[in-house]
Parts: sequence; C-alpha cells; structure tokens
Amino acid sequence: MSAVLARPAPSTRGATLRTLAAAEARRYARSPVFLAGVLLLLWATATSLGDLDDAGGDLAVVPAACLGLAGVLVGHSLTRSTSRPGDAVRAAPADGALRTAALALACLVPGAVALAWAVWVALALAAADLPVAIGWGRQAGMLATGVVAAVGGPLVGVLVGRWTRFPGAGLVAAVVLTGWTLACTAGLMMTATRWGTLVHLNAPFATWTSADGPDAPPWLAGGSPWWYVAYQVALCGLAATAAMVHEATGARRTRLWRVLAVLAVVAVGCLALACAADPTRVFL
Amino acid sequence: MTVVPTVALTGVTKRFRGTAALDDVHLTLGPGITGLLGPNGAGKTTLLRITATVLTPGAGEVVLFGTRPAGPEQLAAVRRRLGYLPQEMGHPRGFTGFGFVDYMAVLKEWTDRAARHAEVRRVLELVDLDGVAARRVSALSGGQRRRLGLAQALLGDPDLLLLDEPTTGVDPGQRVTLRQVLSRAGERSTVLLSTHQTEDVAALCDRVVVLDGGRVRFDGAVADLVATAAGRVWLADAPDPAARASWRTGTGRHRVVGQAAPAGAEPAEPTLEDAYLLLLGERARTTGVAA
Amino acid sequence: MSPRGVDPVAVGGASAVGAVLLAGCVLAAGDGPPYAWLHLALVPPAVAAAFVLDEPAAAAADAVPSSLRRRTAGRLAALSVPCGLWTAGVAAVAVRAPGTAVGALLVSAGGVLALTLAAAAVLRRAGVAEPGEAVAAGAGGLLLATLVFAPAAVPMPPEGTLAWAVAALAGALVVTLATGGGAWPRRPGSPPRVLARRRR
Ligand SMILES: Nc1ncnc2c1ncn2[C@@H]1O[C@H](COP(=O)(O)OP(=O)(O)OP(=O)(O)O)[C@@H](O)[C@H]1O
Ligand SMILES: [Mg+2]
Repeated sequence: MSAVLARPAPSTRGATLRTLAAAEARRYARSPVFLAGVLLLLWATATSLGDLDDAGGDLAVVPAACLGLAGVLVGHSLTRSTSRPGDAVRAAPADGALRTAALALACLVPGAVALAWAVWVALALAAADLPVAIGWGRQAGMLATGVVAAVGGPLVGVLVGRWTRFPGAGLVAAVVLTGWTLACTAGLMMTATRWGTLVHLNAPFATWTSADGPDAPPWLAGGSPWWYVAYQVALCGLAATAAMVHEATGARRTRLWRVLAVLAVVAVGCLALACAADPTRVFL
Repeated sequence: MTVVPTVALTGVTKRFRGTAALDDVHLTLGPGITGLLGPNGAGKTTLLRITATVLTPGAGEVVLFGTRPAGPEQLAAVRRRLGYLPQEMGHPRGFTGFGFVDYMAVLKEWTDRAARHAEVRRVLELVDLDGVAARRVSALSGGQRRRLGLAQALLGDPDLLLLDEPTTGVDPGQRVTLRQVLSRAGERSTVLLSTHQTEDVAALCDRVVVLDGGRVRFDGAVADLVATAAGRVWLADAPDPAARASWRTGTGRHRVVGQAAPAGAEPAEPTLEDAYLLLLGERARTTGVAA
Repeated sequence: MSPRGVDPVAVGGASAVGAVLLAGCVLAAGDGPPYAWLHLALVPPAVAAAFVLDEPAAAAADAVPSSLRRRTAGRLAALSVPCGLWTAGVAAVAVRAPGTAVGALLVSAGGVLALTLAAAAVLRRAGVAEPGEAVAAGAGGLLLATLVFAPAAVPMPPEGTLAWAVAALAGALVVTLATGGGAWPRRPGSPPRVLARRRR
C-alpha cells in the first residue's frame, strides 16, 4: 500500500469548473448519438454541397438537426448519468450549480463542430463562385443560426435533465423544439409584415428561404439574421441559467433568478430588433 | 486548549411526511471509529445524510469542524474534508472503475491531473480493486462495486469519513482488508460507520451509538454495551421460548439471550450482538411490540 | 391482465405531449391533411411504447412463474392510452380535412409502435432490464431525422400503407417470438422447450 498523498490545495471554483468541463466535454465527444450526428452532418452537407444552386439556401438546418436536435438527447443523458451516484455527488465540494455549469460548457463541443462546418460551407460557397444574391453578411448570419442551434439543443437537454425525472424527457423536449420550429414556418406563409416576421422568427431555429409554390421563384424572408442569432444566443443563456437554478441555493439562487430575468428581457429585445428590420422578401 | 469536535449534533430532528426519522438526536464525534447500530428504519441513513450535508435537518443544529455550514462557501469548505459512502449508490453509465473514481476526484477538486491519477490509483489499491479498475462499472460484481464506492469516499484521506453499510456484499477476506484500511483511517480521522454487522463494530470501534426509532438508545464504549449483557447469556440444552432470543448453535447446544437463566444452563461470554438484542428487546417490551 | 409495473410517468408524459401535438394537427388541418405534423405527433406514442417493457426489478420479476409473454401482454394494455389518443386525433383531423387517409395513418402508427416494441422486446430478451431509454432514442431519433432530412424515406400516408402493414405484422411477430419460450432467461444447457415437452 502506498503512502498517503498530499491533499489537493483548495482549488478555485474556476479551476474545478475547467477540469470538470473538460471531463464532461470528453464524455460528450464520445457519445454515440453525437458521433452519429456528426456522420449525418458530413453526409448531408457533402450531398447538398454537390448540387449548390442558389446561394446555399438553408444549409444551416443540417447542423441544427444533426447536432442541435440530436444534442437534446446527448445533453439529457449526460445530465441524468452524472446524477446517478446521488448523495455521493451531492456531498462533494463541487456543488450542483458548478456541475451544471460544467455540463453547459461541454455543450460547446457540438458548437465547435458546427463552427468548423460553417467555415467549410462558407469556403465551399466562395469556391463555387456562385453569385451570392443574399450578400455575405446575411449568408454568414444564416450559417451562424445553425451554429447557435447546435449549442442550444444540448443546453435544452441539460435543462430538461435537471428539472425532470422521466427518462424519455430528452426526446419529448426534442419533439417540442421541432414542433415549435415547424409551427413558426407558418410565418413564411403569411404576408410579409412585421407580425409575419415575428411569427416566423420566434422559433428556436428558423429557415429563411421559401417559395410561393412548387414552380415559383424562391425568396428570402425579411428580418435581420444577426439579431435573430442574438435572440438564439439569449435563449441558450436562458436554458443554461435555468438549468443552474435547479440546484443553486441561497444568494446564488437569487442571483441566478435575476440573471434569468435579465436574459429574458434581452431575448425579447433581440427578437423585437430582428423583427423590426425590413420585412420585405428578396427574390433570389 | 479545548478540542473542537468534528461533528456536533444538537437536538437534530427530521420528519418525512409525519414519520420522525430522527427525533432530538444529540451526538458529538471526534477522531476514532464510531459504530452506528440500529434496526431497519432506525434513522441511521438519515443521520449520515444530514452529517454529510446532503439533507437539511428539520430542527436542531449541525456543527461540523466547528462551523455551522450555511452558505455555499462554508458548505464547500466542510465538504472538502468529508468522504461519504451512501447506502445506495448508482454509477454513471459507461464509466470504468478508474474513470468513475477519477470523476469523483474531479468533483472533489483534484484539478491537477497527475496528482489526481496518483490519488485514484492509491485508493483503488487500498480497496484492492487496482486489478479490475479498467473494467466497466456495470461489469463489476456487487461487492466490487461496493468497494468502488468506498474508494471514492477515501479520496484525499478525509478528516470525516461517513460510511453507510460499507461491507454489505463484501467477502470475508475483503472485509478484513477493509478493517485494516478503516482502522488506519480512524487513527487520525473521525469515522462514523453505520452497519448491521455487529462483528465489524466489535472489531473496529471504540465507541458505539445505537439508534432506534430515531432516538439514541445507547452511546458509549463498545465494552460498556457488551457489559450490559453480562450474566444474561447462557448455553443451554433446550431452547427457551421466554428468552429474548435463543437458537441452536453448531455444537448442538442452544445459546439463550434473556433475563433469566433456563434450567441447567451455564453462563456464556456475551458478545456485542447479545447486548444489542437485549437493548432493543427492552424497547420492544416497553412499547408493547412482540419481541 | 393489467399494465401493472409500467412507469405511469413515461406513458402519461409522452401521451400528454402527444395530445398537445395532435391538437396542433387538428388546428393545422384547415389547409388539408397536415402529414408532417402527424409524423411528428407519432414520436410521443413511440416513446411510450419504448418504455412499456422496462422492468427495473427484472432480476426478480423474471424468476416468477408467470411467463414473460403473459406479463408483456399485460403491459401492452398501457399503450391503449396513446393509441386511443392517436385514433381520436386522426379522426378529428379527418373531420376537418376530409381527404385524410385515416386507414393509412392508423396502419402506419401500428407499424411504428410494433417495430419499437419489437426492438424493446429483443433487448429485454437479451437481458437488458430497461431497454426504454435506448429504444426511445433510436426510434424517436429516426422519426425526427427522417422528418427533417428525408420525409420521402419513410413512406408516410397516403403512400406506404402496405409497407407499414407488413412492418406492423413483422413487429408483432418479433414481440411474440422474443417474449416466448420457457424459462426466462433460458438456463444455459437446458433443452429447448419443445424438446422438454416431448420428453415428458
Ligand atoms: N426520503 C424519504 N422519504 C420518506 N421517508 C423516509 C425517507 N428517508 C427515510 N425515510 C423514513 O425515515 C425512517 C428512517 O430511515 P433511514 O433510511 O434513516 O433508516 P436506516 O436506519 O438507515 O434503515 P436501514 O437499516 O434499513 O438502512 C424510515 O422510517 C424511513 O421510512
Ligand atoms: Mg440505512
């Protein structure tokens, strides 16, 4: 039997968070659902990049589904799995809020993959020499919505894992997110007004191109993609903070509630700004 | 110089929907191993959970290492010096034995990778699991999983070690190994060992606390509890229905634990188990429950 | 036969979400049959079906004299809730959108549920006490993935009725086979049940 080692010098919360987040990130990266999502992402992107016609269209839906929607399941199962040792985990100095924060940071793993994907697609679009009718600023904003969705999905999974005990809750949350997104496409069928944009853009993920019929020319919806991305980021912040509230106590909990209120205001503000932009559709 | 006790519970009460799991418990613990005995549902796990800061008492005061942990910082400070093995423990999916203890070490703020891995290897060696540490936790046997739980509690050689039935399902050889580990831990740390194995308490502890119905029924030296059974244990040729307990031993004679000597019986050396049975038997009679 | 042992939270929670989605389908049915929405609304019943065979106390339950097939049949009664909701929802959609392929929708739901149950029953046979989480992720994930990427890959109504009918029968057959056959789990070395019976 070896000698007793020195106990760790009391680490800062930051150092513990970094170590824990790295451990959770490794677990995320090894999750079979995530790996399947990455393969699907590569396959779906490779096939759509093969026959690019008009300005890349709504490619962002690929990471949003492969990494974001699948990530709801991953985030949920990681969260549930880390709570399994129960009291042993609860008696450790790293408290529940810190453990949730580490899980939330691990959700940057699919975000990093989605970012690499966005760069790849942007380069492919540039190389294809297509006339980018949308303009690069808008195009980049549309790609960014997919990157943020890839982080947001897993965060919703963590949120649901913290607040519910039902094992199928991750999948149900994924269904709800899909339903919300689908419902908001109704905005694309309305006339091009700011109200129509609001119906279209309040979704956690929105597609931007549509057409008035099977043979009609495609058009790009109104509204500001970058403010919409800011709205999505605020939603991510809301999910992460709401997940952390669950196990926080005392003053920390009060502080988190305040952060939640501020983020809600920010989200509404960003959405309003996204919808305040010119609602007219641009035919491609 | 006054010595600050590691654990000081004053008037601790905990109710779960009307049933009192703990009822006005007073307990002070310092270095050494204290055994915690009591029938099923006596409140042992509740007492350990409260001491481990994972459950807040309904009433009363819990002072650990001289502080009453209130805010997150104080809680973390107490938890840094605490090791806890719960009675029931799940394991995260897909982890190896090493991976699981390593994960727990991260939660216990071992941020330096090399030092953490060395510590994880040390505790796995202590519980004799170094040979199977690379296996998935789901592929370990029940007793091995129990020892894995003990390994995570031993991380960092904590000043306060709370063990809820650590030897359940552990084979006799390993139990002796664990006794060595615990007796060494008890030299400098405060160890509270909840168990149903009176032999473990007799072999390891200098002090024993008996809980019953949420109340402390006995708190004192193991020898003192054993002494209460002196002159109340016999070896007889026939069973004694009036006794607290009597059973046929391997030698063919009957061990009788009770108040009065049966005819033709000869006195026997009392054990901790006999004393425990007698202590709780008195409760059974005073409350009118058939013993 | 009773659905005793089925986690009411899993089936109830999934049914509740399914009911909300079906209500959405009925609302959306004003402009014709909302097949994409119905595709989505099929996920919660699939989740419920995935969890129906979960038996946390499998080690003890598998040693009781009542056969697994019998206990499984009892548990399937719990699916009457999501199935009833689905039937009612489809009927309501058909009232608002008269062209709705009601029969095809019922058959395809049967196919999805039967295949999900088959996967759970096979895992249960293989000794997994709680196959629900994995099966739900697989079945639900596939349904969502096909909805997003390849709505044509899964023949949703009105096409594909025959394919789904075959799938439903195959699923039911797999469930029957996987839950049948003597002691559970079969003791290694013990003769197959047919032989044992003949010898008697
Ligand atoms: N979470 C809970 N909810 C409701 N009642 C509880 C809870 N935990 C414990 N109890 C009740 O409190 C009492 C004490 O339980 P506790 O688990 O502390 O007993 P114990 O001494 O550890 O028993 P055992 O030897 O069986 O482990 C019991 O009556 C139990 O039913
Ligand atoms: Mg207990």
